[in-house]
Amino acid sequence: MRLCNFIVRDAIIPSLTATAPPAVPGASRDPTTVRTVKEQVVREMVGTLHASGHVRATDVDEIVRAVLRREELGTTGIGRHIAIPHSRHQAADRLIGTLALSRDGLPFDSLDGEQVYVFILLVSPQDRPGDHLRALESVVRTMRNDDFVRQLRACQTREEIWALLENAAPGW
Amino acid sequence: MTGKVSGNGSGSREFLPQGSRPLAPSDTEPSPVLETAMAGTGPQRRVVRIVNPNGLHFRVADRFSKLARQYVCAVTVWNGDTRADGTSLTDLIMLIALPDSEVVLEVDGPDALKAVDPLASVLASPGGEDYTI
Repeated sequence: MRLCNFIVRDAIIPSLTATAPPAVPGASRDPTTVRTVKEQVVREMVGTLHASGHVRATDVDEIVRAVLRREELGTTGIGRHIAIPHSRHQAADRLIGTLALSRDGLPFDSLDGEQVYVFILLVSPQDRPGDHLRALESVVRTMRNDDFVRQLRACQTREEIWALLENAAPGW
Repeated sequence: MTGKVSGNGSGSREFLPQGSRPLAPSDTEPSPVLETAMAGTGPQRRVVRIVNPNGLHFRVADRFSKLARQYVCAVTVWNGDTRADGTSLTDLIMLIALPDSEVVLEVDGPDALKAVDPLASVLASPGGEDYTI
């Protein structure tokens, strides 16, 4: 499975509007700030899935809540500036996802404590664990390639991001 | 309900699922220090059936890798030919271990005997979690 198989092109966000107050040097992030940032990011990403016609308006709030509830069970900030917020949800009839970039980086309670610049949000049906696992594997495998991530973060437009995803070799 | 865990102790990999391959020589050669510590024990192995309805998913991988890091021993999980460092969340995700599949847990080091059962239990656990998210 490749990223372009499940990421919705029209839902890609080249530059998130979510922001966080500057970090205090040497101090850990206030959990409330992190929770607020997570909600901003997730809401913006689910919002673009709705705007692109892949999530009904009536399902947006519930999907946002489900993704945030999943985050409370353990962060999906896997380190290396990547996060994969996700949830299974009955509203999804197939696996869909979107990708968003943060230009300044955002606190996301990452496993390595670093800011996150690349977000991939997944929403999958509850009865297709194989698709969900394959998508997670695809994200992890692709994002392990430092060159790919560097190119991705340099993209400025949705079209540039999509072209990169489409041209990425399956092994990336 | 719990997952099936079978296999035990040191010895050959003959009970590995079909398609599994032994560790590369560079992976299997213990350091001199480890070799001394392992005397009389050897690597511990378990074949574990994944009964979690979501497979070896993110949260299970996270829980497993955190537990694996509490031990000194090397922790490896195999799904067929695919090998994962058990201390790496992302390695474990890349196994794509589906529900009802079998993985092989291999633990090698001075605290292998102590580590193998708790680690196998995490893999074999149905989770008791909210499967809807």
